[in-house]
Amino acid sequence: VAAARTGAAGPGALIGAMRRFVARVPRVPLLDRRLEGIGESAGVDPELMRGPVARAAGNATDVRLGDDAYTTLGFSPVVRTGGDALARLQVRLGEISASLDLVLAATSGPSAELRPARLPADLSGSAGAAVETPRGMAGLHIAVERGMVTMAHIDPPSVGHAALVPALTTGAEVADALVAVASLDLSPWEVAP
Amino acid sequence: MAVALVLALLAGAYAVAVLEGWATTGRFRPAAPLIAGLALFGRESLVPRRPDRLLFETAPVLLLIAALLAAAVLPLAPNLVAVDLATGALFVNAAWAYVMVALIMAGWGPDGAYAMVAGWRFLGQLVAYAMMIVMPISAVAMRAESLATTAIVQSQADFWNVAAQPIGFVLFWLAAMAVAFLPPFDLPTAPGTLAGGVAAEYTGARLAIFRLARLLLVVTLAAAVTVFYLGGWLGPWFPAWAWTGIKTLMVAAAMFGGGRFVPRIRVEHLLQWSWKLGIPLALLNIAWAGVTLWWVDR
Repeated sequence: VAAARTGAAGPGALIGAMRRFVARVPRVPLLDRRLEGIGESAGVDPELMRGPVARAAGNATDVRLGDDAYTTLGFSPVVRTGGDALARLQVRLGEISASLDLVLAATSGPSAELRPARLPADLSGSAGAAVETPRGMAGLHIAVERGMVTMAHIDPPSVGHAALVPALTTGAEVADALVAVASLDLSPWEVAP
Repeated sequence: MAVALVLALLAGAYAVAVLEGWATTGRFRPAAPLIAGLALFGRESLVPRRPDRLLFETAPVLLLIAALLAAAVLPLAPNLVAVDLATGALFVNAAWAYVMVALIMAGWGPDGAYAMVAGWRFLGQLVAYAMMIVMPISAVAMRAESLATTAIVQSQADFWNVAAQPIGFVLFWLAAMAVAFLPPFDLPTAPGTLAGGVAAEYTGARLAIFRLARLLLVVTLAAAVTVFYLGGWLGPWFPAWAWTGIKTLMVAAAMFGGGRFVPRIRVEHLLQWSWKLGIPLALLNIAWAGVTLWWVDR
């Protein structure tokens, strides 16, 4: 937005604007006090937490840690220990900066050659994969029979996070409950059956 | 004179509405409040399914009356005040007490969840700000040796109270914002979380009255800051009434502008800060007023 307002163009201006935004948000007066202690995840099932929600509770899980391409670029997850709405905000802001660093590191080196996988047309079997989305790890399980997909199941992070809502909001003042839910960054498209 | 004062009050409310629109949208649109007001009167005024009709209907009117009563004792100029009560400063405080009553009624009356939560929130807000209204007023009355608002202005001829009692000024300013439920103290309306709160169930002409009452309340609170701390009508070159008007509008603009950059405060934090920090500081302010008066009289 800042880049657009100033008329600046190009990735450099956008990156600069994003870094300024990331630096400015924590300086909003009283924001820490407003978010501190809201939606604390202490005592909830840790299996339900993924991505920034888990990392804000001190759990340094990230699928990208197992990816050589990321480790080569110097990737390390942003972790906080508060487990509340403030920690989730801090993790997300830290991840914006970390993502910009990754983009810059990846684009500064030689470009890798993309080689599309060639699979036999009559392939059969099942497999699973995991990818780190902005909301956390998403799992994909597919079954293929003679080259045709017969089953595909996506396990998105918002399903587990939605299950946290009762534990994070029960007994909270209505505004605090809304902040707690917002801090989970639920995707309605992921939660809907 | 009464007509002139009412017109001045309405003009002030309109100017405050323009300032509020400017602060919230970032665009200066002088005609917007008029258009919005006319549009509200043109809309259907719905009544909720099972309201407490008496409370629902009277709440906006009571809020309007509370603002008008407070305005009646605040002077625009030495001889331009509706009622120059000997206990004017106390009367202002008593009039503002009805703001709480009106908002509780507006919360209870419609029989709606959001409105009711908002009404009770304001009760908590009153518990937080009430002492920070009364105690700074006590200190300015000490300096004026009178509760008459005109005498309080005249007592600042040499030195405005904002400089003589800076702690009281800050406390009163914040408390005034809380009385008018301006951001970040907009707990009873809370756009985004309570969908308008106490005003959520009002539409059409009823909502227009509610909004007009709130604007008048902001005017009276800004005028009170002017009278109690910024020397009221005192100032060179311009007529006395103009100085009061200018200062009042500047205070209102600062109130609207300041709240934009801070997130809405939590009820428990407001109570915590008010009772653990605000009241001790208000006591310190009274002690400071006493010491400075003793020093001057010595």
